[in-house]
Amino acid sequence: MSARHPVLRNIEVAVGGLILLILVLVTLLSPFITPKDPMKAFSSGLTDEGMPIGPCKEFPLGTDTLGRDLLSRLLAGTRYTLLISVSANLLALLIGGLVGLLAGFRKGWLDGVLMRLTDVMMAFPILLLAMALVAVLPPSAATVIFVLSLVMWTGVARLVRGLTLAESEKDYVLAGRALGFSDPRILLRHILPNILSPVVIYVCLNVAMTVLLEAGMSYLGVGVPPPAPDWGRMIHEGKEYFRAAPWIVAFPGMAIFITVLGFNLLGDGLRNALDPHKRAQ
Amino acid sequence: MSLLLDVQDLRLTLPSREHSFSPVDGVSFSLSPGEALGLVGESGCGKSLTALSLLRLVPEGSGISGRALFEGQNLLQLPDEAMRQVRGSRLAMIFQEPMTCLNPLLRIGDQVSEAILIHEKVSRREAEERSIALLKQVGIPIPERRARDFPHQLSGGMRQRTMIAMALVLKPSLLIADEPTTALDVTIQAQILDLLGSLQQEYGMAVLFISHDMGVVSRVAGRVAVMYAGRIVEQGKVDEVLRHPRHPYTKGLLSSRPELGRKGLSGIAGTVPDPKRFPPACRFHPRCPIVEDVCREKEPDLSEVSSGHLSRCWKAETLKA
Amino acid sequence: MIAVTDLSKHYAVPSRKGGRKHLRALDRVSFEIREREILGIVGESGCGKSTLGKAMLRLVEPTSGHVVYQGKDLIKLPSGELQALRTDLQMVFQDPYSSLNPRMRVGEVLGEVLWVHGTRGKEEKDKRVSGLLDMVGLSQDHARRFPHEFSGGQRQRIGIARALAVSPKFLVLDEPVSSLDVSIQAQILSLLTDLKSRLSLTYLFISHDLAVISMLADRVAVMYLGRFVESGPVREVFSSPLHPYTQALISAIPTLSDEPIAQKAKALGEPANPVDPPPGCPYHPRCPLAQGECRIEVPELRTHHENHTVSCHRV
Repeated sequence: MSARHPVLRNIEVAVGGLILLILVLVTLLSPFITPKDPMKAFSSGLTDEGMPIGPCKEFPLGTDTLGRDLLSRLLAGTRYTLLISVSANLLALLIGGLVGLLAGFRKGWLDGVLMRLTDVMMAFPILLLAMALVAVLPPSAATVIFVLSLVMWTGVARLVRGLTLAESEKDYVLAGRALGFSDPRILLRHILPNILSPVVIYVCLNVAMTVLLEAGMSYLGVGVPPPAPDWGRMIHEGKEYFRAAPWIVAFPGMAIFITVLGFNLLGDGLRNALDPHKRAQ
Repeated sequence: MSLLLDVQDLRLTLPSREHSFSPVDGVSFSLSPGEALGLVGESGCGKSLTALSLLRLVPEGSGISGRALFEGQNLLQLPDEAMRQVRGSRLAMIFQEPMTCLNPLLRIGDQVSEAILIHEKVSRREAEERSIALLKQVGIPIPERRARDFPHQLSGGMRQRTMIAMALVLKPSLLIADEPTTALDVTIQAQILDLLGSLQQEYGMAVLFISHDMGVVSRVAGRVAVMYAGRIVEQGKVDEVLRHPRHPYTKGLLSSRPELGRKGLSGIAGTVPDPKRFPPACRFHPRCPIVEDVCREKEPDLSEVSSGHLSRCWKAETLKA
Repeated sequence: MIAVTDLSKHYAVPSRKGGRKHLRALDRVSFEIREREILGIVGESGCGKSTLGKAMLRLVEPTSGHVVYQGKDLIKLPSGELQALRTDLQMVFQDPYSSLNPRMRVGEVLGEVLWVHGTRGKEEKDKRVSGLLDMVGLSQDHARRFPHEFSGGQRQRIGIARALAVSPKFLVLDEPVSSLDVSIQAQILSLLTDLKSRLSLTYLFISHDLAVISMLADRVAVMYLGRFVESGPVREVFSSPLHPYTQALISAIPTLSDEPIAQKAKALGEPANPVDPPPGCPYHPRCPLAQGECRIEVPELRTHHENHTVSCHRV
């Protein structure tokens, strides 16, 4: 109960929030702030032997294997990373949330069926599933979003189901039923608002994991197709040149690291801020 | 006969965001050896905190002032190590929820033996034997077998008995019981109260019995103190206080209590005040049916209205029934 | 008004040795409630009284039995027809802390009930919300506040207002004052009595507190392990209790007088596990009067005299 705690909480949320704010701004403004065209291969971007150039005045973060400006690609790549990760999680939230609410509220056989389905989905190895699906579907950002959401929804479903089960035992829900409220009304107007905070925190932390997953997929070549400046893909393209031109791998790697850190901090900070303190009121 | 426990002007101050407040605000009472005193009040009156203050089990940052002389020592001034020695051996406490002092992972027989071994140098075998004897004494049937049970295998009443056994391990001279039967069914409550009564006789132990239920207290204690808003508002022999209450709050409490065979219930208007914001002057005045101007201006002292019977009310005289 | 016949609720409980056991929360309970009467259900924890209230309103689905109201069996009704009758039969819950949605303001809570049941128009709604708050002793500006800003007693008032919002005729009160301080209990109990006479209500009052029941109810039924063991007019049952359990309950009450009311029968030991009810009379392991047949045969509910029924071999 000392005065230190609010400050700690603030730091996490503040730093995490700041990082994310910057990322969002970059995403929104990227067409305007990239110094060069991220897709354009510059002849001045390669040495005479055709090797990438390290950080210099013309290319502040160096160039990649095709002579493209790394800084511009990094900034443009923010879009992919953020949009894909966030969209995938929103989709997962929709699917998983619906499944969890229904299973937790209706219980009985519906719960059984839905949970078995969830178990089956969870048993699939993520990357293998992703790779298999990507092989079948046309490669694009949308496919990646879809595949990621398929992987993520099960965790959300489990969480929402547990929270819904607990909440639906409470007397005010029983009162709602006694008063003739319809099930959708009870689910959406009563249960959902009361289980929101843990779910928001979970999704936030999940986005962090999704960023890593997406980068992993791209690194393995099953993510967003070239020439998209996706960070994972950039690492994939740069990995052969790791000795000679480490910046091609290092800078996207750092970008991923900072993004994941941002989401984790925000999620942790929110969790500390929302849960135990409320109880201490 | 010298007093076993003499509490003078006990005050517990807790820090808070706006300003500190005192949920226990100048409480004084005493206990003779072997005597049972009841401390009665509703939630928020400070009765549990009073007990916790005596045992110095209060949160970090709180301030305790006043004196609490127990067997010649001032409990409030004792260094931590000495206090730990006193707790459990001379002075024991049992709570409303037995699971607060029962380890869910240990068998109950072992927990009682541990309590013995911590304070006395005896062999493990002897500790086990004494533990079984204690369990028997508190009324647990087939104690040799029951001692091997875990707390979750026992019913509420059995757990409460186990907690009592642990408290009695070193034959304390004072047992503080904080609402020990509130969470139990009526029939079990009756059993536990009988048990406490007989143990008190057998050990010659003094009991400070805290409860919100006047009826329960009257079955256990000889004297009673009624608390409201951090202060004692009436004190005296149980029979007297029950038959001739001399404070409007006590009167209100008694008449709010449903009784078999009685017709008509009257509550007390308003709600119990927030400890952070006690009313000025007489703390009961906003709810008092016989309030007068003086009650709103000055707080009455606890004064004697008849031999051994104290009341904190300007109009105590008029309440002589 | 309402006739309950053979109402039962069994739960299947997986047993440690494999196979299933049955927890008989309710075991063929039958009774009637007359209009404008208060029937008290009294018993200790685990006796099934809460389940009884919920099963009657089908908030918990009974395993078998009938609850007949206005000529229709609620248990057999399809949900459409049941919903229509729901407004007549409402419930007030025990725990003031979980009985209100923590995220809704009081005015919204009451307003929602009214809206669902046909009240449209802000003015009409506001008027009725004010009326309800007034009826339970709360003021207009309480409508803007959240549940956590209220004390336990006030929250119970809100719960009562919510139940009254649909103009019910019958209320199940499930331990409505057990979590409250004594002085607040009295306030709420007098509110309930007042409302009953003003609105011509019928109550099923569930409590573990005999004294409260004795002061409020017209008739009382004593429950033990899912069964009624004794029932009859309140005054009669409490002044001449016939069943040993009732006697034990009464003598266990801590009274303010010097002598306890009845020192006779004491309940021995602990309540039996409802999952494993002993054969014969469910109370026999604790009964000081238990004899041969008590261990074998379940006693029938027999009328002693004047609507006073008892289920005991030794009476």
